[in-house]
Amino acid sequence: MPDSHIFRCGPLMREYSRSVLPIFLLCSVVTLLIIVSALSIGEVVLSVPQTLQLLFQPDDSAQSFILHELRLPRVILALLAGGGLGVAGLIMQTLVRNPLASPDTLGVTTGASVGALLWLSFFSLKYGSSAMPYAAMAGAAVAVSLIFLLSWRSGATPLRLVLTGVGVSALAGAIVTLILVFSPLTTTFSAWIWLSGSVYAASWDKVLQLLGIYLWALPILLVLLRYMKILQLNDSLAIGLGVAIHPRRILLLLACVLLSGGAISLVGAMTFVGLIAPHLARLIIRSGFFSQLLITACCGGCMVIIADLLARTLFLPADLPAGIFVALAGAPLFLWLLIRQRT
Amino acid sequence: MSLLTKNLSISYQQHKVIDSLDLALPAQKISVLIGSNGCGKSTLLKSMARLLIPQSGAVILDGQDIHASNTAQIARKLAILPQSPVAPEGVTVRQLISLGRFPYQNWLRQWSEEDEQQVDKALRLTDTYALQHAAVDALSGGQRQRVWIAMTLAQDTPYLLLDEPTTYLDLAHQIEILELLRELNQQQNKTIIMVLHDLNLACRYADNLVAVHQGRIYAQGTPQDIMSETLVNTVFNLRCKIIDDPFFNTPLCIPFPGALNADAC
Repeated sequence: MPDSHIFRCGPLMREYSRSVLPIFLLCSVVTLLIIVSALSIGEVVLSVPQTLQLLFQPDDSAQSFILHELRLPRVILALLAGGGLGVAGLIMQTLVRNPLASPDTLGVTTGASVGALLWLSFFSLKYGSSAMPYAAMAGAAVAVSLIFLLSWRSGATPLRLVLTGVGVSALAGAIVTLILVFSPLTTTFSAWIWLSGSVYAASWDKVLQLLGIYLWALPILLVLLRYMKILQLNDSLAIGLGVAIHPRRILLLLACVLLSGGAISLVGAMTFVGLIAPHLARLIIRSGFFSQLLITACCGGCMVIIADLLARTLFLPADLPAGIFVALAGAPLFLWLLIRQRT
Repeated sequence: MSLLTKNLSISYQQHKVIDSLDLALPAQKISVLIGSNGCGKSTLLKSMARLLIPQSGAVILDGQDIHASNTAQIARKLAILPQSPVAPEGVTVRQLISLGRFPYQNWLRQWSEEDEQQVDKALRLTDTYALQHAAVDALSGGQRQRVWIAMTLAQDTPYLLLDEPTTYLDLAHQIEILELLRELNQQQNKTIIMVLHDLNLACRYADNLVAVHQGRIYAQGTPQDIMSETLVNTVFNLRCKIIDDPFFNTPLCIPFPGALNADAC
């Protein structure tokens, strides 16, 4: 890098690109602006100074309740879920060396859907729906393990992972439809909302639950992120550079399952974020995996916040699932990226 | 310092590609593996670089079984350039070469002065210094191959293994790459082991020629000692005449059309 900068302090040594810091600051500012707008706009419109004042000095007013108990957890849940989905997508795309890889194509989304819908349709009437996130996580874990086992032939090559992922996703999709057909009518409607992905019933409990799941992925990411630049090479090059690829690939995929499975289990099958956020980030920054990861998290978070803002304001008083708008905006964006790349 | 295989056997599914093979390769020399397509020379090279795990037997590097040793430690002794490596999209020459320093890095120490010096040295040795900020995708085939060799040089290993490093290059660039490798052997004392298809270039650049036939070593020695019409007849199933290269005094193989027998190798 012509603008590379080296940081050495005792045993701690890092190399980074000089342009990373301003880009990251800019992205953080944009994200904060989007968060503040999302907090201000809604059925009850607050002015920006009013929002900021209430944010730091809550009072007993109705506006303060709306801000702190309804909008803030909703926006933060959207930010966390979008960020987690984006980061999971970025790691998956790099690991399987395929820009089309995402939690959707590698079975996380459909696996979680099967788990969540099974619980919702057959157990929630009896046991309540508080355990639904765990059912979704279990579904995601089963689907991804199945994909791994089916593609394992003394190691799991990226191409086999993608192909089995598509196969298992199709199978899980069929099971989802089957469950919908046989589920009692009372739960079908909530099932549809869950399947479109929504931060509608956000609460601080859900935010904490999601943070708790992300906390498990954090140590894996901290330790193994430096291997990403090697794992994106061919297997033979990576082995030649002295990296035992399979254990690291498995652990990193596990982190992806925790991030995207956690997000999906709490906000529903929000598709497209994991696919598109990394591509958006690549438009902004190309160098350094860690910087790409931070920008991807910002992009994913902002995508879901904006989609949710549109979903709850455009057709007032209807409050639509945010996932609809992610797909409505995401699909054309993705096509545009593809067309742009060809020219 | 030595690299040798002991009773090495490798099979793909049921088919035995390498059959209880014993081979010792001389240090600080250029060894070239030759043989017909599918005879096992590439498989042999890959297993010597621990890219393939043998069914039985061992590859011994400096007295240690490489499949039982720490892989990062091996990467500081032995570098491999596989056939048709793929660079990540948009990566620059310097970034790619820097990856060669990975075996020396840990979580804290990710870019030491030593790393920097070795990358600079690799850029200079391969004459790619001027290209260091160019994207690898934008380079010509010959330049790209020099960049890949630079990456293995940044690994700073006494052993360098290359799987068909001249494939897809025109003759001028083939000579350029082979001259570079000879220079590295003579000036940096690297032990070079590679697979080549061109018999005449193999004879010109090899100190030690290894002919692989049906998963076994057919002959090993200097090109002058082992190159013969019988060897080419058997190993390649090809009729030929061996003459002396008038300029380099190495054996020169003139091939004739027509196979000797239909079912060899």
